[in-house]
Amino acid sequence: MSDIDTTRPPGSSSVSTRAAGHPPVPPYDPELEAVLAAMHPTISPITLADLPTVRAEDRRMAGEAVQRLAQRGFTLTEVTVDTADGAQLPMTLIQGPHTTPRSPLIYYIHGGGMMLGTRWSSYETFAEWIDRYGAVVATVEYRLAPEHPYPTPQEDCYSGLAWLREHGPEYGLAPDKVLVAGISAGGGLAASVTLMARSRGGPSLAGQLLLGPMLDDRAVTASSRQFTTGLWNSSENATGWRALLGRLAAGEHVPATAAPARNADFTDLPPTYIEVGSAEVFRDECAAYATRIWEAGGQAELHVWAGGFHGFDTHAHTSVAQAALEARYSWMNRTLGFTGVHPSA
Amino acid sequence: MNTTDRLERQDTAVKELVRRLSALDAHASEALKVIAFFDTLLARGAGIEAFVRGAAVFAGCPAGLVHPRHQICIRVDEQGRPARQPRIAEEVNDWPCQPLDDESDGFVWIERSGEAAMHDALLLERLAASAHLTIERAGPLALDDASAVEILLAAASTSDARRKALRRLQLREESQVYVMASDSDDADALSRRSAVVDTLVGPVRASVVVTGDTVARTRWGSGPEVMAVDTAKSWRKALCALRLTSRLQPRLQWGTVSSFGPLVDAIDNSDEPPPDVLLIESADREPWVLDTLEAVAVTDTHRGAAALLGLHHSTVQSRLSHLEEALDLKIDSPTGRTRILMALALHRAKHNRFGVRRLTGSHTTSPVP
Repeated sequence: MSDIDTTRPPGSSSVSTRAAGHPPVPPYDPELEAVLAAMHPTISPITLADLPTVRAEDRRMAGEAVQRLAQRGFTLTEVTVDTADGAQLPMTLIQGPHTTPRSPLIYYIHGGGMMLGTRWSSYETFAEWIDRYGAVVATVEYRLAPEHPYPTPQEDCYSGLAWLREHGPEYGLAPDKVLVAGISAGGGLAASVTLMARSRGGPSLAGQLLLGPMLDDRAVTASSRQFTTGLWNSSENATGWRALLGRLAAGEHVPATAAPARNADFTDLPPTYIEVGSAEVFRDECAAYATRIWEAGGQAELHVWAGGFHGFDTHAHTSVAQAALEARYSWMNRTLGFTGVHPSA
Repeated sequence: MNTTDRLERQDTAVKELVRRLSALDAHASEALKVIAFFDTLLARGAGIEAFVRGAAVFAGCPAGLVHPRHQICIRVDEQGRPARQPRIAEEVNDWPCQPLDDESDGFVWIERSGEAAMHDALLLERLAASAHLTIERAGPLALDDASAVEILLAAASTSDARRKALRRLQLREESQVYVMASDSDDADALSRRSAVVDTLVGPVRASVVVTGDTVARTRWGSGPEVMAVDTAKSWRKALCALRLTSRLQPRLQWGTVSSFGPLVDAIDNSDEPPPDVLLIESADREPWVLDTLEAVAVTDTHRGAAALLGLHHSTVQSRLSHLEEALDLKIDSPTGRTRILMALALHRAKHNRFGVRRLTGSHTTSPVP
């Protein structure tokens, strides 16, 4: 099946999330369960020992992604982001043939459990924004844990945003209203970058688009313990947080910029969109994050899709993924101020 | 060895197995994926459109399902999005398609132009089978009595569907019933559990009758008593009995004609009728021929035959002489009677038509189509 992305790092051939002695779990959406049944078995649960294999596959996919994007008629501009600790990060500015001076600027942060992925991971997701909104997408190659633990990934991602404000105008970009977007660990990093932008007087943001974001290292919610098997299960989640935080993980001294669920002050955040499945580890931390924003008088939109596992939205033929995409584009229409239309529509 | 070590070793072994499985022959593994996909949707009771979407995404081209009886018409594009029905175009005829095995006009298709892909046939087969089961189980429309009767009559119906139909008809599985087959032109159904079914011999009304209920009718064939779940068996025999009826014998129970069952099947499956049937056909030049032959064959004397026909016995005598000469056969003998009885029965099975106001052995001379 062409749209089953078996290279997505959190992978499993397991169909059922039920196992003896474990808490009951919401069933998967039937169409999504059928997708799992048809998937190639992949390595699961992922451990630190699997990183070299999966990263090699990530690199191969990156080459393919660049090719595909060029075939779609997009222009790719490579730039270099200098970090405070002296590193130079590759970042790519991608635009389509329909870019105008009023085009939205979207800062994209890839996923991969803080340990995996490249700035090309899930490129189909942002390619759609370029087609639909004439958007310019900036995607940054942040350094990965465990080789580069907290605060490196977070600071790298913030450096990319800062670069856009400083150098954007040289490339014809108006970085006064950036939409920050991230998937999975990238969603957590996007939430961190949003908090950092607020506290450091960074660029004002049009919004934060958090897709299945990884927000909480503590594993205290019901959902964080409910899914012991399946895509991005609780053991993989623990591995990711340990890679990022080392001994700090789940302890008392984890700052909000590392795990945004630790944040205490939810005032003055930009409009927030959170999308998550009811059958994934991140469900409850996502619901709690939206609730905290509402409590603080902020604007948040939360969608919990019944029977969705982590990354369910990539299986775009399913009815539930189509509904999730429609809701997402509706929010982007409202947040960006105009209705994006796919050129082929 | 401590627990952690053991777990890690098991983990390594499992991963090795997974890698080997992935390397299995790609064809077989792709087929297994298709089967696992549809099995899972079935097991989870997914809606009918989910199956069509899955087929389209696997095939990489649009796919569809039409089922006139249930007014279902689904088409999705290669990305699984609902799409309009295709324009009527030449290529429609070239697309691979498969009928549903539910004796309906329903079928599924994938819009493959050019060379077929490796698993097209498997995809279609799985899609058709899943659609059949899902339609019967989900019943997008509430069953009406006639649809419920059709399900009971169809040999291919699943037991799920049969149970549902029985509930609709307020029958228990073990209720004793039999089927009566009658001409669909007759306005009144023999029971409220009735449907008109297209058959080899034209549209025939099938009525499911509970044993003990009284039924009056001018012309019918009735099947044997069966349990309600086995209605389909009674229907086949009721239809056979109906086909053997004539003006002189308008009501036949299966039990009285069961010996003809295999012969009727044989006639249906052969282009070449037995010579005796051809002989009857050749003699059937006057409106009275078939009635006269039958009356003589089923009675002992010319007077009995005459009474049955409502004629004077001398008329019967002269017609018989004429026929014996024409057929070169001594009809008025045990052998002659048997041959004529058999030949007439098979002739009726072959030529009786329903739903068109035309009976062989009746007083009409229009040619048999």
